[in-house]
Amino acid sequence: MVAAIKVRGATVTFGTHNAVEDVSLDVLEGSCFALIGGSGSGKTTLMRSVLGLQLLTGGSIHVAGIPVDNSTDGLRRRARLIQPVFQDPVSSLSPRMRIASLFREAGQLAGLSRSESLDRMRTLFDSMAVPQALADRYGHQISGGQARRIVICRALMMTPRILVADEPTAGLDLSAQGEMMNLLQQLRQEQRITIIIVTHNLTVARLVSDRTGVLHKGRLVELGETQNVFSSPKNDYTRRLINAVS
Amino acid sequence: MTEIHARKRGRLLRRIMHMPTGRIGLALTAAVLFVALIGPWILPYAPNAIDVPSRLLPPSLSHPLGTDQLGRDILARVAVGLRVAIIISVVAVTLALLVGAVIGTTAAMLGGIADRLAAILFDTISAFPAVVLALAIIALYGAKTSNLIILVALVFVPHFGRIARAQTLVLRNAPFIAAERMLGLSLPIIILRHVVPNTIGPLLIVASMNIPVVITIEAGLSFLGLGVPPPTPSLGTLLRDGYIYLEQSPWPAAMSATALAVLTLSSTLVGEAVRDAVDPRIKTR
Amino acid sequence: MSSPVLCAIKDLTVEYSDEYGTARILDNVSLSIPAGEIFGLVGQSGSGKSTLGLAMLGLLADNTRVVSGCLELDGRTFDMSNPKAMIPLRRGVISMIFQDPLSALNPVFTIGAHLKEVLGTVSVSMHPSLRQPRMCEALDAVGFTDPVHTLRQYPHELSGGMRQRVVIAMAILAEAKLVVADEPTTALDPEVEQQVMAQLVRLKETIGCSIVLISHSFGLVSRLCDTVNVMLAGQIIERGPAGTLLESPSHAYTRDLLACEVNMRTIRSVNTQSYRFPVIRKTQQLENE
Repeated sequence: MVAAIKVRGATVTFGTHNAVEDVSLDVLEGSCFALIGGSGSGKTTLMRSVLGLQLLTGGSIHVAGIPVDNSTDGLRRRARLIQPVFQDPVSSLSPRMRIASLFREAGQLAGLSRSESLDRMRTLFDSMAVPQALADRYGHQISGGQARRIVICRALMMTPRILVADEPTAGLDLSAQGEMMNLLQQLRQEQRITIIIVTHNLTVARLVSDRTGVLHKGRLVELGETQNVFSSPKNDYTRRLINAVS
Repeated sequence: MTEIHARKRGRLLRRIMHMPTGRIGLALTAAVLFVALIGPWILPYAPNAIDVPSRLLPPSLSHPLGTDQLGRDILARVAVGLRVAIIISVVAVTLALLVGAVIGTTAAMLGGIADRLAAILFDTISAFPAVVLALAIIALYGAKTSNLIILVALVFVPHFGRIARAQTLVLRNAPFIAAERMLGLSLPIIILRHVVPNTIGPLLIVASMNIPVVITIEAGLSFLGLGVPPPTPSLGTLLRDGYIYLEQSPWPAAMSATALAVLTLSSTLVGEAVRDAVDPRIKTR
Repeated sequence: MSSPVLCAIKDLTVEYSDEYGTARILDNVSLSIPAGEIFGLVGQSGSGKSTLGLAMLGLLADNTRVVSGCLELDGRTFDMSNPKAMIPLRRGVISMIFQDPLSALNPVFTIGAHLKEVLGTVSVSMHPSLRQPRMCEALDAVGFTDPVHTLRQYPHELSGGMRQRVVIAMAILAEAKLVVADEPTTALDPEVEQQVMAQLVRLKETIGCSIVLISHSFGLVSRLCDTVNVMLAGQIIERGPAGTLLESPSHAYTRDLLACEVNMRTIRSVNTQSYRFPVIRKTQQLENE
């Protein structure tokens, strides 16, 4: 299997503090990878580094063979490969632009004409059960659940091969969590999209990920097949985490 | 995009009209604008028409506000003075807003050294007392209207710049900015399309509240002889002339003072009404 | 065997208005909280559970108003539709622990200042020299190993879990009769969640208060609560002892809620590609009303 994402010796230092220290892992194409850690573990910094929003102090990251940097050129090249789904969907939509305008903008960046962009938007809305009327609204005029779907649709405008979901279940009640995760599962199955979920929700990680990595204080303390990580963790911290939710 | 602006403007106007200060402010402003813009076209006397035999006359039918020491019609001069004050204040504030916002926003988005330099620049400019700065510039470059505008704009650049910078620093870390970066949008376009529209609100409010301040500064400088050069009448110079000839006739001073007061009051009321109208007072969860 | 009722709420109705109209968030809700118990309130987002908690303290937002309702506590009756009438309750009778640990504490005040303020409000007669030891006692009770140092720290120096524990310490100092905890651990890491929940249980035992635990997680609520109330669309649709509800829920919605819970221990092998989470469809919710 091809590695969609290769992280080698990634280190991110802020002043004297190592937010991420010497992390190496592979995410295989078409798989689902769970990056687990508490607050302060460095998982958000690592995620931003993979996306190209945060520059590495040391090490390297490759997405589909392309080295990751935070230049606009680099981001543009990788925009058709990897897209984020951030935690707060309403804040992920530019407040003073209509949703249709946001999709036209995304379409333009994906190389589509105005009408093609809107067509693709309509198709995506249908596939995600988003009412077409929402396209005329603004971010603050739609519910959180609808915003979540719309944000995923916008990410899909770029036809990415990889989706990175940042705490997809945070702040949601269990049913809404289920809906969100089912959406990601659907994308994975129907379009063979590689999914990375960054989370502290171990139950969700257990149920959908093929491989899991556990971060603690910036270091990768556990890495392996999810089944093995959860049934026989090698690291003490992992064991403590699992016990806390069982 | 324009639709929502129009709708917002409509709502804003309605809210301003709801407040007594807003209604009075708008009414006064309308009156002032009428006199200032239409006045010079319809008034019978030219502002600089000297008519010494008719000097220092009290208000009459032919000279509603009286005449000054050279027989010039005060109403005509006040009308031009109002126009000068309005133009200078609007141009200076707009200039300050544009320059301040561009520097503040760009520096904050770039971060690092650019941001530090912008902060230092703003601190340096605002460290100078406005009057000292005025004296220095006038002494070096002469007392011209354009210098006056540049001077005033300079004094207010840090004001707008700091607000723009603070707003941008907050927005920088917002998820939607990161999302736009991930789509491959370049930094200048992100600033223009996504940052500026979200930071312009407070800037416009501050601009509307700074207009009366600039009017007062301009009048003050003109009063000191550092402002608009003669023969263009400024409310400040009118006030000074009236002050000199106060013993011979109170009318020139009284009329120009009243005009200045009305102008400042009307713009202050409108500025405060705009601020209150945009204030999010409803607490929602 | 039933403990005496500490607090009872009768016929609470709360409405919310905005430019699009008015909606009823709580509809004639009545409940009684026994003394010394952990009282659970479970429901999805929008069920009204948080509003119920806020209404008990008179802390509703401006555009939300109590149409009717009264709260009985300690033999006194409080008219919930009158915000001013609710003020005495906030002075040390009812305490609240909010979901967001980041905004619960004022960033410009030290932890000591926060605790001092609580003491100043509820124990006006306490001699100043007694305050410091009392505050250290409270911090020690919630697990801070160096209370004197903690008193000098600022909120941003503490983690989310530590901040929630400070808030619990404040409830201890207030000697509250009732503590409303609205999703107190949702924003915390799993490890820390355990610690904070343990502190809440200890709180109940230390000051003998009752706790209203509001959560969307049936699992959390059933582990700790004596009674569980299930809320849906502004009404309590089922209530009973936690054990009973888990084993044999009578309402279909309760069954649906339970179905969404996944117990880690019961996961043996799962096909991660095809796994689909149980969800409660919106139509299901409406049918169940």
